[in-house]
Amino acid sequence: MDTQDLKYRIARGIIHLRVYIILIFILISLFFLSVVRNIKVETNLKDFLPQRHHFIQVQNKLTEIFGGLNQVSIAIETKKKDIFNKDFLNKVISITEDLYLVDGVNPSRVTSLASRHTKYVRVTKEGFFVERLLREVPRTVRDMEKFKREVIANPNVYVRMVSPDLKSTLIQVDFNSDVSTRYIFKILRDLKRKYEDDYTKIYIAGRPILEGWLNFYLPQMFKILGMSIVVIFIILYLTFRSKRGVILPLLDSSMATLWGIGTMKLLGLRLDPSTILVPFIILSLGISHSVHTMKRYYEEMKIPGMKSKHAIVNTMTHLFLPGLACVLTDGLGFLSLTIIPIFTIRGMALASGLGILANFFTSFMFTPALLSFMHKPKILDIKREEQHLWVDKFLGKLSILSISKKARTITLSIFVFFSIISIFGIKRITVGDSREGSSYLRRKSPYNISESFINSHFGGTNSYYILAQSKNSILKSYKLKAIDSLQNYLLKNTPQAGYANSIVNAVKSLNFFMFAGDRNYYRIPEADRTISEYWFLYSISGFPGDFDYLISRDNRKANIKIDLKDHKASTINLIVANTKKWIEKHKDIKDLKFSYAGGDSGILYAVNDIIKKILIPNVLFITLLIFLYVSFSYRSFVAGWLLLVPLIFSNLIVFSLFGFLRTSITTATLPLAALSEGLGINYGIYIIARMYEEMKNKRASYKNILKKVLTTSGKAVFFSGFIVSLGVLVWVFSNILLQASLGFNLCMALLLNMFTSIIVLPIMVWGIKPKFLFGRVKDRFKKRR
Amino acid sequence: MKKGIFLIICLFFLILPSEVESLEYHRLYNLKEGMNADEIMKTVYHNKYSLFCKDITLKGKVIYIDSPNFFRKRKYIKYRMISGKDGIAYKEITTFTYPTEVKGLSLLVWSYESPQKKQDVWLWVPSLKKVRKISPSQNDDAFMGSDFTVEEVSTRKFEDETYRLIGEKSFAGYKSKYTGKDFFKGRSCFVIEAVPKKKNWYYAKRIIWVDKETGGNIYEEYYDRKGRLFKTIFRKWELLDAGDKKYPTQTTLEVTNLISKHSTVILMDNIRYDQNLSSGLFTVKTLMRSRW
Repeated sequence: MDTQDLKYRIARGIIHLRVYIILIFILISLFFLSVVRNIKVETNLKDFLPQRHHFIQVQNKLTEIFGGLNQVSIAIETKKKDIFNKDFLNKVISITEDLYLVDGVNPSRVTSLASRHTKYVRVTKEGFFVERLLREVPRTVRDMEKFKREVIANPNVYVRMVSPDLKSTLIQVDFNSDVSTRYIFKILRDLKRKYEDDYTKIYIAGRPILEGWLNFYLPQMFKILGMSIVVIFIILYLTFRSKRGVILPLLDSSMATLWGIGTMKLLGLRLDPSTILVPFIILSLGISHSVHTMKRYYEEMKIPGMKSKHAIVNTMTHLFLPGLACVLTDGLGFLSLTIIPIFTIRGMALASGLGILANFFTSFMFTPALLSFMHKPKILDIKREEQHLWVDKFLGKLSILSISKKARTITLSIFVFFSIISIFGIKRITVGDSREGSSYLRRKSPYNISESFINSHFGGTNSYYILAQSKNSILKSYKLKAIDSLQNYLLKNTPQAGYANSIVNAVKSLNFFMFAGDRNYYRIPEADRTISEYWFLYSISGFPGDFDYLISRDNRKANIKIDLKDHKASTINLIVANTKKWIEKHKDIKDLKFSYAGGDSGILYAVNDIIKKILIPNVLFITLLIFLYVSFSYRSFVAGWLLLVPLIFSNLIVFSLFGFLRTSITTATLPLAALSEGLGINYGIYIIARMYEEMKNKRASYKNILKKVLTTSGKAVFFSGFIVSLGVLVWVFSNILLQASLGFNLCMALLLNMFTSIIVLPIMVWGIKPKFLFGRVKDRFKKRR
Repeated sequence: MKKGIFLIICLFFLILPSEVESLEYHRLYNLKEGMNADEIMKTVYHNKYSLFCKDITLKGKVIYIDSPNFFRKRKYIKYRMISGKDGIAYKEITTFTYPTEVKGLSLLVWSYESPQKKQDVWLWVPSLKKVRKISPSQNDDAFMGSDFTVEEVSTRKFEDETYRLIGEKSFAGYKSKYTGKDFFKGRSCFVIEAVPKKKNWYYAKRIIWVDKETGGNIYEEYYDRKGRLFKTIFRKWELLDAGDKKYPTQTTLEVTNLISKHSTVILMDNIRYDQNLSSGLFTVKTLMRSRW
């Protein structure tokens, strides 16, 4: 029994069992429908982190010891002359008091001008006197001026808590780690509403707020999904101009989407900015496959006297292999993304991969089974479906590009030219953020405006942490001197490092106060005992937990925090390199170990590092997968190359755009290669499958075969390419930049893939005349020449 | 006649506060049935600062319960002399004896009778052999790095709050977080509500259970502006023998911050009264003599 016979038998079998197939599909769908109810829509940025990366493990350890993952920064700006007016300072006091009373707030981690541990220190020869900086608003003009002088003279307050232009102040607050982002976001938005007025503007930033905004925007994706369906609906109608042409593809791909989301829920995943793309991807791809099924069905129905059932069996026989090939390459392409150690991308990959595999069953089993129950389409429908003269003309003319030597040379030269140019673009690609703000959101989003305001007004709020660990007490002179040396080295050699804070600052300050404010004594004391006494005095001045951000309660672990003025990849790379350099040079310090790096900057480094490490192997893996699969299917390596070259062309161009447009590669673009290659290869597979079929069966000239291929499967590719690419293009309307940029880039990639499949692939086929396609025909062509 | 009644009423109100304020130093006062809130609280403060005695020495241990499995300890010796002269309420030296690396670190405090006058505080740093005058801790600062505020253990004065007697009740008992033992179940208490006079203070009110037998505030509940209970303080008061008298004395203090879930226990023993401590002990010069 040859393959053709087997495919025919399978197709017959499916139609024979169509009632059962439809029933089973409905039952599975009902099961998944019950599963997907109450699926959670929530962002947890932890899911976006490569948990196995050393830096993330350091961050997790830092969070466990010192807390502080739920930190929020609140900047309050006055439109008046400066912040030193009664109304404004009253607001600062009230906001601070309100924050103390919020459930889930760690009161020892509320830092503001009015917080209980923001002190003013007066040093005299006799001793030193510490008072709360702002307990109540200064009553007289003189008191206000005194307060202003105290603020400006205090390096722990000026620039760090009060902006250099004296028009804004910063409040930082830490929520307990078990408090939900949703709650924090709501509480702080209410606070903003309560205190903002014509003279006061409030900016709020920090990881919980970013998560809050992402959660806020996520439900809008359902509207975008609706838009996507409308776009697909219109294109489907333009493609088929019949009810079944619109309803059946939408129905079967919706079914696969439901299965995909159901699988997500069963796997314990939730919808977040990354996984929410799953339904779009499955829907678009499912429709793309159904378009091929429907197109072929209508094509078969054009044959005079063809019965509907026969047409369906023929359609399935012809599309079985290319369909399976497409679904496998797409599905496995997605599943290959599960090697990325980022939870949400894994979730997205797994759910999409499985959903896409489900597409095979819905597009190539359910739809044909359902179609077989429908009455034969009126001849009008078939004609209507064929009313795409301009497309036919366009696609027909494309065949000239392959046949005419001159056109072929020009076309190939253009592609080669763009490929060479694109190499320059690829060289300019940067991994990691190259601009301010969160890459998840748009530049002008309220969150990024807030973050940008805070970063530009308060020295630097991008944290970079180093953990210092010791088996015994860390409160030894030589250990603190090492920490001091490290933080000074980083400050000196990293221009973007604004401020460093650790237990060293506390000990040095106390020494300075103890010696009557003599600058020469702003240093670590030589005697270990003095250090212990200082730290004892320091620690008894606060409540339990007040200094947990500096040192663990057993005095064995200390936290070094460097504030960076931006989180550009270049800045983070520099400080990490500097840290590494210092530690390597000082690795012989007894009983002191440094682990780096935590904080927002450490986390970003880890993500960038993973992107760098994963991107190229992932692209190569998918490429190899496609190459091997296609080579195996057609028993020819040439077939593999034929499909890969156009794909490489288009991907080179897409990725070069990142370099030319100075868009950096971030987590958003990580799945792009897999998506673009996996989805893009489909077009080539359908074209080559049709060519294979036509070349095997008919004895027409290549020109005619090519024309037929392009006006049948090429046309299906053309429409399905538009459907999928426009389906994902609607993501650009998302407020979540991560989705918008992925949508735009993917659309570009798919359109390019589609065009290279119908332009470059035929040229290559004609130029190479591979044996697996031409076989004996090749010899015939040779003889004719 | 009306004028006469008015005068009597005025006199009554003038006499009452002066009666309450006239608690004398070095004299013991007991609680009596029918006392009003101010009278009860005056007695509580008198006992809190041991104003009934001439001096007191004790050894203290502070235990920080960071988690059920992780405790930290600090130990100290305290000498206090009750003055009642020259506007000075008491003088006090606290010397830390544990952890050993800070042994000898001492604080000398002079506390004044006038509510307006701030304490004077001197710090002795043994490793530097230096004395530095430092500002007194503010009332809402932490006491010795614990969950107590300074005023809860030392500086709070009668004048800082207004009081209302809620009633007389039997105390439900307190189970110690440190020892697990039950205390004072069924003790007859005055229940008083105290509201701070300061605006935006760290608590909005506290409910105090005053033990009729010892005259000590055995249990307090702290409420914030939202009306949430955020802190409880238990004090074990005992009547200790001091010659032929029995002095009310706090021997255990236990505080729990219900928000941070952290507790601190202060245990006091070796408590001795009226040892005739010399006033010369409470000077900067003495502080500098490292004898601990």
